[in-house]
Amino acid sequence: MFEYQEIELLDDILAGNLDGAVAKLRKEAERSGYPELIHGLVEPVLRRAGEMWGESKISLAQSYVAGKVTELLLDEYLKSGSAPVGDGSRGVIIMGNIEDDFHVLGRRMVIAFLRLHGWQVVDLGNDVPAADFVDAAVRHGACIIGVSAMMLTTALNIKAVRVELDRRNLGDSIKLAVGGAIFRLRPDLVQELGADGTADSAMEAPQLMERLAEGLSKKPAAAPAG
Amino acid sequence: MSSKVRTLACGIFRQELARLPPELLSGLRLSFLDSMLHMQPEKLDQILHTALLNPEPTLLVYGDCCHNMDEFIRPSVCRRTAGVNCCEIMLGSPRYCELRSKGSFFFMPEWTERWAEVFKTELGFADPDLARRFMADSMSGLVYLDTGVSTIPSGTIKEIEAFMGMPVRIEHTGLQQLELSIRAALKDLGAYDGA
Repeated sequence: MFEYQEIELLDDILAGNLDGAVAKLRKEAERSGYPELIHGLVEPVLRRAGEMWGESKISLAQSYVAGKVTELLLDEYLKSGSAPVGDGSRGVIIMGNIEDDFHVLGRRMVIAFLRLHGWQVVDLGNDVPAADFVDAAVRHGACIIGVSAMMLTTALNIKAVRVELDRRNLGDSIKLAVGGAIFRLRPDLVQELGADGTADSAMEAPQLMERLAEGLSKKPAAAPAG
Repeated sequence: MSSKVRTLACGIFRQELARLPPELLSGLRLSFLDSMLHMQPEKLDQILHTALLNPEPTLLVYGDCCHNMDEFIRPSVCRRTAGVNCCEIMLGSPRYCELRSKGSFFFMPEWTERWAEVFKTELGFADPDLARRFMADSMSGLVYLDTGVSTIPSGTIKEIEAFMGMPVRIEHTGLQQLELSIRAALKDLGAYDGA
C-alpha cells in the first residue's frame, strides 16, 4: 500500500503540481521501489488521465503534467541502474516523428515506456524522412519501426515508410507501428498506411511491440557491434 | 469568375481575407467560424460536415485542422487552401518548414490578441512556470507572423515573452502566399480562370 494515494497523485496532476508530484513519488519509490510504484500507482493514474484526455475532461497542460511526471520518474528509475533497460534482450526499436511532424510529447512518453520494458530505443527525433527510418532500422538491426504523427496530413507521409520497407523486401523482418492523436480519431488509417499496428496510449505501446515482434516471420539482422 | 463561391474560413483569417485584391474578394461569399474551434477539432469536423451536406461548390480556407478534412475535399465541389495549418498558408510551405524544423511556435495576429484565452483557458497553462517548461520542452522559439494588415501589437508581444520566458521574433509574411493558395484552390474548384 502506498502512502501517496492514486487520488492524491491525480489531484496533483490536475492541479499542475509537477514538482510536488515528482518529489512525492521519489519519496514513495524509496519505500516501495520503482517497479511497484510504477505499476501499482503511476500506471493506473496515467490510465485514468488518458481516459479523461480522451473524454476532453483535462487540458493539454494537465496532460503534459501527467506525461512529464511519468517521464521524470522513469528517467530517475532508468538512471538508478536497477531498471531492465536497453540490454537488447527484447530487441531494438527505431522511433521518430514522420517527415513534417514536430509533436514530440507523445513520442517521448512512448520511448520512456518502451525503455522501461527492456527495449533498446533509437530515437531519430522529429521530421524524419521515410528512408531514414528504414536505414536506421537496418543499421541497428531493429525489429520494429515506430512512427508518430499528430495530424492527418503528416500521418499520410507514413505510407512512404511502408513503401520503403516493401521496396527493400524488409516487411517480414521489420514491423511498422504507428501512433499519435490522429489514429485514435481515424483508426482506419492504420490499415490505409500499411502499418502493422497501433496503441491507444503510451502505456500500451510495450504490449503492441511485443505482439508485433512475436509476429515476425524472420529475425532481424543482428545489430553491428559498437 | 461567374458567381460568388461559398467560402468557409477560419476566423483567424478574417482581417487578412478582407484585404485581398477586390477582384478576388468580390468572387467570394465569406463565412467565418471561430478560430477557437481549432481547440475542438471534433466539433469543427461536425460543423464543416453539416455545412457541406449542401453540395454547393465551396472553398475551405483552413489547414488540416480536423480529422476528416481530407474527406471533405471533392473535385469541383470542395477544395481547401494548401497547408497543414494557418501558419503554413500564410508563410508558404518552404518557409514554414524551415521555421518549423527549427522548433518555432507561431502566433497569428488574431491568436496573439487572444493569447491569454488560448494558453490560459483553452490549453490550461494558467501557471507561467508550467507554460515555460512546456514551451522549453517542445519549442525552441516564438514567431509572430506579421501579415501586414494590422499594427504589430508590441505590448501584447511583451506580455507573451514574459509569460513564456522566450523572445518573440517578428516574421513579415504579407498576404502573397494566402492569396496564391486561395487562387490555386479556386482554380481546382473550376471557379477561377487564373487570369
